Amino acid sequence: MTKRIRNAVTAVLALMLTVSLAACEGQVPQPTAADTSSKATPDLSEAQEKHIREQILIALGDANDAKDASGLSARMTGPQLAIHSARIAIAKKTGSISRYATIPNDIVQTVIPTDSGWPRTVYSITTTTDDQQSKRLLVLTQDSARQNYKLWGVARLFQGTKLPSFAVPDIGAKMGTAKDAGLIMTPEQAVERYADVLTNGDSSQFASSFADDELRQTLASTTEQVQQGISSNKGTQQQTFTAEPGAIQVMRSSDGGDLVVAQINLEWTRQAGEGRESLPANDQENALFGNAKATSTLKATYVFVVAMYVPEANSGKQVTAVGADREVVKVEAQ
Amino acid sequence: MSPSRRAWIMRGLVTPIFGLLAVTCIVLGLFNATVWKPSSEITATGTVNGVRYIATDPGVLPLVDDASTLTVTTSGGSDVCVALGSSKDVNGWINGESYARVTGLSDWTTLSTEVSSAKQSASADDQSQDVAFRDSDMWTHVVCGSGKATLKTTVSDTSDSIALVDLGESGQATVSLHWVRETLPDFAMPFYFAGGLLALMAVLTASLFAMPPHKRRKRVIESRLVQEEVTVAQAISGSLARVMPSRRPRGSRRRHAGGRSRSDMDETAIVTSGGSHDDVAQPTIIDPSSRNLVADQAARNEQAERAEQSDVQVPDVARADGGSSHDRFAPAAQPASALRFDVDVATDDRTAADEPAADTTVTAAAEPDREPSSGPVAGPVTDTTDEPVAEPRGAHARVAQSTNEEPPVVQPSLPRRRRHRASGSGHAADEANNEVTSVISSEELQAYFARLAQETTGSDADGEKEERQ
Repeated sequence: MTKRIRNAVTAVLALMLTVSLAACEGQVPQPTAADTSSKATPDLSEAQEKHIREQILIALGDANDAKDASGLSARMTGPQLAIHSARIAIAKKTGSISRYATIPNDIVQTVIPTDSGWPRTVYSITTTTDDQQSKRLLVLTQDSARQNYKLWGVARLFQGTKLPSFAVPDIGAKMGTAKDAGLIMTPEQAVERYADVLTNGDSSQFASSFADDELRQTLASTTEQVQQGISSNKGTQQQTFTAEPGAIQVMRSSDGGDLVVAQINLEWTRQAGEGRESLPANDQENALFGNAKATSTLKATYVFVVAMYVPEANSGKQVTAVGADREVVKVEAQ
Repeated sequence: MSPSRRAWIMRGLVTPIFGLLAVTCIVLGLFNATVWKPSSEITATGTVNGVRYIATDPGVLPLVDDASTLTVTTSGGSDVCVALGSSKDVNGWINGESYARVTGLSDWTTLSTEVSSAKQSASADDQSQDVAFRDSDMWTHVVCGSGKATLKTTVSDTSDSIALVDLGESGQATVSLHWVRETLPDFAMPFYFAGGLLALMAVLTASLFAMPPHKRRKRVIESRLVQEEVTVAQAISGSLARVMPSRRPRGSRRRHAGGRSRSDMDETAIVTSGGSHDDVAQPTIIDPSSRNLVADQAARNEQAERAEQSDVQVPDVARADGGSSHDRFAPAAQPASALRFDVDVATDDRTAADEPAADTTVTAAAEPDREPSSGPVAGPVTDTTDEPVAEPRGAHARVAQSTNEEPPVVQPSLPRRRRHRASGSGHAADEANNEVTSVISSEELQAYFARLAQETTGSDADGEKEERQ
């Protein structure tokens, strides 16, 4: 009987010890790592995108106000850095920044990819400006994890342009590459051929692959006006558009095509005849040319940012330029 | 074990043990609900040495609760920043650097950490464009401080947000994570429950289980006495019904007597006639599937007509039926069984022991043996009981009972059976019956028998069917 009591007491004590001591705080939880590989998250939240854009616009505004382009590189890169630096340089002479440099604060759409590597690209489409200029397509890039997003390019969308549709920011789009297949031509080819079309106009062998657009029409009319003046001087002009190698951003749309934004450079060489001097053709060139000594030959270098939609192969559609921006960045007498 | 000894053990030993355990459990439950109650505030701390960056593993921030507070304290007092970003951004930032991982809780107050060495040297890219840790666009939240930084976060389980700490330079730092638990584990309730059960056991051991087993059993039996008696009686009668083919079912089953095929009736006639030849207990084989309700009805009608039209004929036929081949007279044989049934019903309150005695009289072979057992029962009653039992198989006896007009018919058949039974009391019963029936007219009697015959036919069939089952 005593043994039984002893056993019972032992059992009670053991129960008390194990249960009460072990149960003080409950079982320590173990982290269950969320499976991030299966679901790709967007690189940025919309709030982050807005914050980044605001930072860029602040840097832009500061540079515009100070007419000092030195601080632009912190938030600008690529063709946009060249264009806006030129615009500030022009503004120093003309007194005011180009109205094309205006970037609205609000956006109508942003396209955020889910790609995990670097560089990363984000497209944002702003509202129209206060003076009813067309919407801007902003291209923000982040070259590495330790760098911040910068404004790489701005394309002023053509009137009546319809952009392809993209995945909403909560889901995230996918970045493309310059050599994306499955399209009627790779983005890289599209940019090179478009440069050829701009150079040669309708006589280009690729003219049929590209829909007519505002940029081509404007350039054709400008060239024609300049040609009239040059012809009267018995001079010549030559425009050469070339795609800037590597300066291309691609985002895959949910329609299957790619929205490509690329830099195209124009070298515009004008030669005056009959011993005359070749002078800048417009205020911007004039501002950049300054007081340099004019010669018979003048070469103006323009930077174009062209946005174009490259549709899927077998879609029966043409590559369509949807927006562009340009600025003369250098004028020099030769 | 004697009852007193059992009670002593139960009440003196087991009950106190249960009671003690119950009190212990309830006290433990109270402790768990008060002083040992799990703290809602959890703070876990870990120390990191020799790295610049500290990253939490995915799932560590919302380990205890979605809302957490991460505090980092450096020993040197240098600037320290804590940022919250997606794991891929954090991995991009610390790519090529050694860093410490906070992998979880080793216990409730200690964070487990792990140093992860750089797998590759930092990229040799142009770093002139790199931004300061606190200025990176990738962080959703960033907090910096001198020597100490505290980041309050709300991260859901499904989010892949993790925290990254930049100590500015390699050094020693203390990382502490603080959560406030919204739902605390309830350890008191199981103790209360166990305590309740143990208290119940204590009460039971002190009362029910302390009782001697036979007392408990008796009480249970007494409480079920009435029901058991009925059950036993039913069981006995049921088994007897199986053993004794001649046993008649209860009168309440008559209404189910509807369907009997002509062949059934043939068999009844055969058996009936057989009864007169002292092999009454021969089992009859009836195929229920061969029943024809239409034929049954026709037979019944025919029988009814017969009963009404030729009262006087019945005895004659019965007499001729001694050869057993006339199935037509089987229905005529039924009235007797019906009469018997009335007697049966009247004597329904016989004891179970009485029944076998009455039944066995039918079986020729068993008759002599069983005879004495029926003896104890009152003479006349036994006789009336026995006789009907024997009767169903014998049309003659039935008719003899029912009609005074045919004494000659009655006389040969009855004595034949009585001879075997070696009992003279049957005659007295017959006489008594005759006296009773003589009060009413023979026509009324015939009609009455005819009606009963219809019902009894069914009850016969029912009884037989039951027997075959």
